[in-house]
Amino acid sequence: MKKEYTKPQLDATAYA
Amino acid sequence: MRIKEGYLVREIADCHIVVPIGDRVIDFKGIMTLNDTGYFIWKCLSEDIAYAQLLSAILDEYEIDEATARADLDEFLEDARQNGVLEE
Repeated sequence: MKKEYTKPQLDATAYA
Repeated sequence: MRIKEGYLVREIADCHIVVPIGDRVIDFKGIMTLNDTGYFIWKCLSEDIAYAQLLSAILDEYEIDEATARADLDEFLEDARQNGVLEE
């Protein structure tokens, strides 16, 4: 059984 | 290609947090977050893997057509490059 797909995301947040 | 050494991933409140450690703190001053699919790709990239193998792993794991998976993977890898975490 394959998993439900969601678009892969890599979100970056820089420190102040 | 693979993820560079020096990053830890921790799951916090259903979110995968990537934290640079050691000298990587100088390269990237911040944190990154991954969703579930992003984390799957990140894990695949923890060891050296070819693009075709990576795409195949995604298609084996998820219910998705190849064209969409390829386009999304390209975008994800570009984000990884922009953030300096990818070794090619």
